[in-house]
Amino acid sequence: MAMSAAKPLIRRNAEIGIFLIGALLVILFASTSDGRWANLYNVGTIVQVTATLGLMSLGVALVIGTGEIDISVGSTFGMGALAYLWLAAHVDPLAAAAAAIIVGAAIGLLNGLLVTRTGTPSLIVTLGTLMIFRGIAIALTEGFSFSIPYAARKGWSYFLLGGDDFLDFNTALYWLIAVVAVLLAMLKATPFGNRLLAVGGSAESAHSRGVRVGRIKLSAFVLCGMLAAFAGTLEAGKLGFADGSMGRLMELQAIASCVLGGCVLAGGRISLLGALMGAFVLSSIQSYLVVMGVQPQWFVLILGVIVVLAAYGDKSLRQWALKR
Amino acid sequence: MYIKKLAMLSAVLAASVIAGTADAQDSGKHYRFVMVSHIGSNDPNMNWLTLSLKEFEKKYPNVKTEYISTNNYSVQEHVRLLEQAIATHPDGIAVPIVSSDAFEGPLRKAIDEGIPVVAFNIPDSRPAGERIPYLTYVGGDEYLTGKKLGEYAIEQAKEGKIPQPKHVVCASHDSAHQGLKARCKGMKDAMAAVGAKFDELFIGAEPAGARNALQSFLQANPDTNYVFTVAGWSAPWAWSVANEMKLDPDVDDKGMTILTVDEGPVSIEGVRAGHLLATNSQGFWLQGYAPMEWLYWNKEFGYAPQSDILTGPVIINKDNADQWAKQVRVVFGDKAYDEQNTW
Repeated sequence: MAMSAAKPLIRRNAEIGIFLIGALLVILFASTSDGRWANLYNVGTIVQVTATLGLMSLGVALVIGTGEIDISVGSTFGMGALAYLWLAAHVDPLAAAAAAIIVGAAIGLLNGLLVTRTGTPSLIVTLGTLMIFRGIAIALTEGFSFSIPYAARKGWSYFLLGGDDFLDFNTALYWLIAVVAVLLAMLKATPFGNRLLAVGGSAESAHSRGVRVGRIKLSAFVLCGMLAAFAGTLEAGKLGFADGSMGRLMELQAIASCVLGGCVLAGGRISLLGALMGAFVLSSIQSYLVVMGVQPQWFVLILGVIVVLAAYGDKSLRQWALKR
Repeated sequence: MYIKKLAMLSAVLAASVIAGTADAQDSGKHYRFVMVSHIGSNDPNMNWLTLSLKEFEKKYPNVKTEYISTNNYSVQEHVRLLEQAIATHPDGIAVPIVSSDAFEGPLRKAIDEGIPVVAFNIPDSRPAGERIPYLTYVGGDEYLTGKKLGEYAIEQAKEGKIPQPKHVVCASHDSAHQGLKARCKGMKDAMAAVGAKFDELFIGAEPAGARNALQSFLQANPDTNYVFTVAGWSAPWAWSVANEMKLDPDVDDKGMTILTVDEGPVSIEGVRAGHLLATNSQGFWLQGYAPMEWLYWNKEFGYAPQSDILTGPVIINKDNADQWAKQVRVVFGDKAYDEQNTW
């Protein structure tokens, strides 16, 4: 009876599946790791990874909401990290972070213009820019890295930009909370949110109702670029280091987070909280395998199997909820 | 300095033997040591470390060792693995200092929490007072690896066995790896003594991209007659590119000369087949075993070495490559050895 009562809730909230899976994994990991996984230090590292991956996933979710995809975010993340560290060595880190976000916005603008003005599928465009900006990141560093020594990374600006912990958690977490609050308000309480999902649901229908489809898509790409670059900034702020490989393959994790979190790749339905939970689940699985000392050659395989099982479990739950 | 380091190495080996007799004197305490490595299972050198850890566990049944690494290496990923390893509160950590700027924060936290740290394979290259306060460094000297290989090549060239170096390119797959940079620097300094031109080239770790980068470089710099690959597995790529360009890359007194590093099957078989002039061993087996030994002695007896512990380089050339091949086959097993020989 109680189970039946849960069905409408699950039907209305696509992210419930990933939250249940997340809760189950937390219980499983905590109970089988002899305190190695469920301790404050480790939770802190998971939260830090979730914060940077989550920021990137939020941007990807916005683009997915319009029925497009952005797989260049890994390279945008890397460009943001490089821009931040290069500038932070010369100007105040906050100004460097602002510049890095502008770099991300420019990459998003390029993606958006190419998609909306040329009609080229976003998968192809962003695959191209993924490679272009990875190439630029490697060329910029000329095969070498940018870094700021640990002893030099002191002061409020570094602290605020992922350089240290506040209340045992990296400051990136608080940025994530602020960003998700703003985006949720924007999606739920502004015309932009309605238009974004309307464009993803049916671009023709949205256009016939006066929505400027191209502009909405362009805005989503720009926001996505800004968020990916900001995530890169926070990661670089934590490491004090960036090279051409920063953010490599994170685009796949970001897309996986969105899909696990209930975003429909065809557009029209997204869940920001679900995408964040997806990022948390991926980070948690990765951490669990590491702390349990899984041999490296099995690591990727096991991670992949767990992700597939989690996705299957989520799909099964939704199908069950749809049955009358 | 060199003699001092060799003496230190001898002391480690001697102490290993002595410690063998100490098995029965175990205090009954159980320890867990974690090696957070930059060498994934796609690099044959991982076997030296994992096998030496197994040997260590046999000798010290009260110690459990764990080997953590990734096959998609990046400093970002490595630091993440390190932090997750620290979170498990191990009794000791062995880690290569790939980037002192990136590793210093987490390692200082670990050391502050009372977890002893031994650097292996790559040290913090800053002056003693500035470096991360780890217990000791166990490993090769990356600079000497490049320098000694370069000096060996110059010696061979003087004897007329290979061409005199005119233009040397150091092909590196990891832009951030300070150890690889030091290998290139060692080679550069050796070559400077005979007035050879020198360049560093970032080729990446992906075969097609690396081959393209090398081919473009050699086309643009036709006077290049030495290639130094700072990973053993990229040596066949360099050889095949040079061979396709008809640059005569086998070891003789004309054409291109290729040098590489490591005691993996690819490097040794390259030397045996006459494709590579020389490679080196940096004592990988000891780099797995000795850090664990020092962590154990530190935890059990409070011992703290007062200098770095050098495990290499040892030049591997056509005169001793057969013996090395036998030795490596014992470590890797025949099947794995033959599989990893990509010539």
